[in-house]
Amino acid sequence: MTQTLEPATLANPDIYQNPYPTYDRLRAEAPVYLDPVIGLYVVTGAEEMKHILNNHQDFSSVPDTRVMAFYSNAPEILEIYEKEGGWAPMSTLVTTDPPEHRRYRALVEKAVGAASVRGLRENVAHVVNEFIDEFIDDAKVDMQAAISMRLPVAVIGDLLGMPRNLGGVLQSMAEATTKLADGTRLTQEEIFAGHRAQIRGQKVFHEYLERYRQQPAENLLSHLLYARLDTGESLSEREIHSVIQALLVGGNDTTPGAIGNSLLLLARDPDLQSTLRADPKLIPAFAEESMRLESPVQGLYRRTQREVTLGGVTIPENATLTIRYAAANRDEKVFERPTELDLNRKGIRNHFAFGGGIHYCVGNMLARMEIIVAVEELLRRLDHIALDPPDFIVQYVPKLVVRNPEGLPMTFTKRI
Amino acid sequence: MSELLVIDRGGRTHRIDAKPDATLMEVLRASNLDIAAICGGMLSCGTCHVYLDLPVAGGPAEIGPAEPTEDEAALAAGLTHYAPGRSRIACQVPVAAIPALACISVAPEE
Repeated sequence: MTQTLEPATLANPDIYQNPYPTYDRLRAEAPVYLDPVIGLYVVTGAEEMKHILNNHQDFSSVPDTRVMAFYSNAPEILEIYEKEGGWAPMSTLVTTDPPEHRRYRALVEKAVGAASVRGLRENVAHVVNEFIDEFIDDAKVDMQAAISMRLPVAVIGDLLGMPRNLGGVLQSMAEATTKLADGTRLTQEEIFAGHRAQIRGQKVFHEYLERYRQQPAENLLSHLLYARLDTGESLSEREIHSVIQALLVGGNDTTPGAIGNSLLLLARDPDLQSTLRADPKLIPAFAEESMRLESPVQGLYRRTQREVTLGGVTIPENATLTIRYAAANRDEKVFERPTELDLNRKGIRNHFAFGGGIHYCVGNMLARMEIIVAVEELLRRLDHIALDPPDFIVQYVPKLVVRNPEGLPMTFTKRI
Repeated sequence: MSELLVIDRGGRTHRIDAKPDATLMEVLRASNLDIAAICGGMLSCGTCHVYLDLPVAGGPAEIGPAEPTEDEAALAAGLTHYAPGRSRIACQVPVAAIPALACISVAPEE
């Protein structure tokens, strides 16, 4: 008797909770695969991933707006922005190719570069400790709400020059953005709602942009207002909103996923907690392995600029690929014992959690630092961190692009 | 063409011809010296870490490579195998700025 396997598809709703069996099967059987349901080429192999990420000539980041509905230029979407007083999204940081990409990236890379991030570290530790103070006497907390979601919002808000009490508006704006990146799965109404969330956020930013236009300050919004592109031109307000928006996603959706996924790995492994507490110098290695194993950005998109053959599959021009970083990060051809968390792994930073090539996440150093500081401070002040109840089944936000726990109820004991 | 002297992670020495308009990372990657260079030169990932040792004092008077920027220095300083005064992020080092007789060693993988 023969058994016919169902065709693998990212449309399977189980993918949100546990994508790894599908990734493992695809990587083994077809590392480049035309998903028959969503109609996109799914890339899961590390070798193919590296080739794509380092070849922007053949694999463009300029999206098909049916897939990346955030960038839709459909008349009915543009009408919403026009009628409701928003700025229709345009491609700047994430969805451009050279030379435009370089032009926009140069505007922000100093603000989130290694030297700047080093300067922010102390303040980030201070913020984490303020959050811990709020719950440390309670013996239990939803760690996702109390730390993972709040810290990156506070950090990016401070960088931009936005007050902390606006976190909710910014968070829903970012949340809507990554939802709009799953364009193949959304209804028209959901797409409209996502764009309206952008406009609400843009209006808040507009108010602060006006304020900094009158009175410049030492923050990123002010910097963007006065910055010049290499063409000598200043940014239009539409461009500024687009750049802000790309940074917000890092601050509100992907870094929360990175911190949450790390805290979950910790809560499930008391020995790991002891190891890292005894030797905090291992925490950066833990952060790398956490991002490799549970990549907060599960994948993004590329579009072929010509017919290409990859992994034995011929892909026509103008096809969209969903490149699954999280799948390539468990490719046994590159990572030995890929499902194990190995603090001594050789090449521990060689994963694809931040993408690769020219689009390597510009905020990677900020994200890394936030994970490290959050873990350092929690381990310093809390003991016996565990899920509550221990067999709690974590639910993930139902998105193909990001992996972010919806809640992480945990118990702990107080150390200091 | 400049000739670069490179020691790989296994301790083997290579003499590599390099175009002066390339970066050191591009040269090492093309020479299959196991440089991951995940970010492809964006000063982001730290996976093209090398040690650059200049000729000893008393050697030929050469102009040293451009000093690392603040961001390059900060990224290098955060790496496990950072060596003060020697660590460079190869994607930030133009071949043209490397003095003759300089010795480049590929740093251990993180």
